[in-house]
Amino acid sequence: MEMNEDHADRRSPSSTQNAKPSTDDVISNTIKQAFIKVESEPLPDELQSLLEQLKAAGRG
Amino acid sequence: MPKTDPLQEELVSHVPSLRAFARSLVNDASHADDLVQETVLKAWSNLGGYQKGTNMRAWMFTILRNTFYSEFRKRRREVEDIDGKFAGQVVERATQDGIMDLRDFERVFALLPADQREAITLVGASEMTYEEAAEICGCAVGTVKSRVNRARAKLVSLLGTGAEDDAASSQSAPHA
Repeated sequence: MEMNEDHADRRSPSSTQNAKPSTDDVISNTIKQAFIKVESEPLPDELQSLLEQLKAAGRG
Repeated sequence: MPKTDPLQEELVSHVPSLRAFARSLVNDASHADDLVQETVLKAWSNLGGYQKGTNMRAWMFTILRNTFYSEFRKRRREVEDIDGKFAGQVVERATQDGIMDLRDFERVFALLPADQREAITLVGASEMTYEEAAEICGCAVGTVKSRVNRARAKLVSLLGTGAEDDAASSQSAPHA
């Protein structure tokens, strides 16, 4: 899985150790990674459009 | 040129996190985005009721959660996997950095009850405190801790052979 430096910095320290991670560590890391993955996705057009409309209305 | 209200700017900045939280409640991505859109509209129109200086992200998560439970609960589709057979088929080996294939994980994660998914997402992924998560979920701190523990135990049970014992995985399948 690709992961940029910013994401790598947010992993738990335990994942950077040489020791084989425990299942609990794997779960924690994977939950965080799944969350970060969605956060870093570009917003869908419909949602982006809605936000632009709201911001424009807010400026008006 | 008129400027956007700082609160409105902040609200927009939380939308990516909101999407991630929505995805923990709703397995289908397009349904999750519908939930986010509705939440954004509600939050925007109720921004006057937001107390400055409090946690806006938690406030928005609460709106999203309430929206989900009031409008989506009856429509959600849960995947039943009582004996864990399906989960056993999708478990793959953890990679060297301790992260398994996200799509496989998401399929197993979806087997958890919604209250456990949201609890472990709030505390384990969005870095909310137990107190903040309890406020968002409208329950006691102890309840959140219990849900997180049950979610972890269930995930360990489903994924247990994936990371710890190479030999064991070839001999036995995980069970719920």
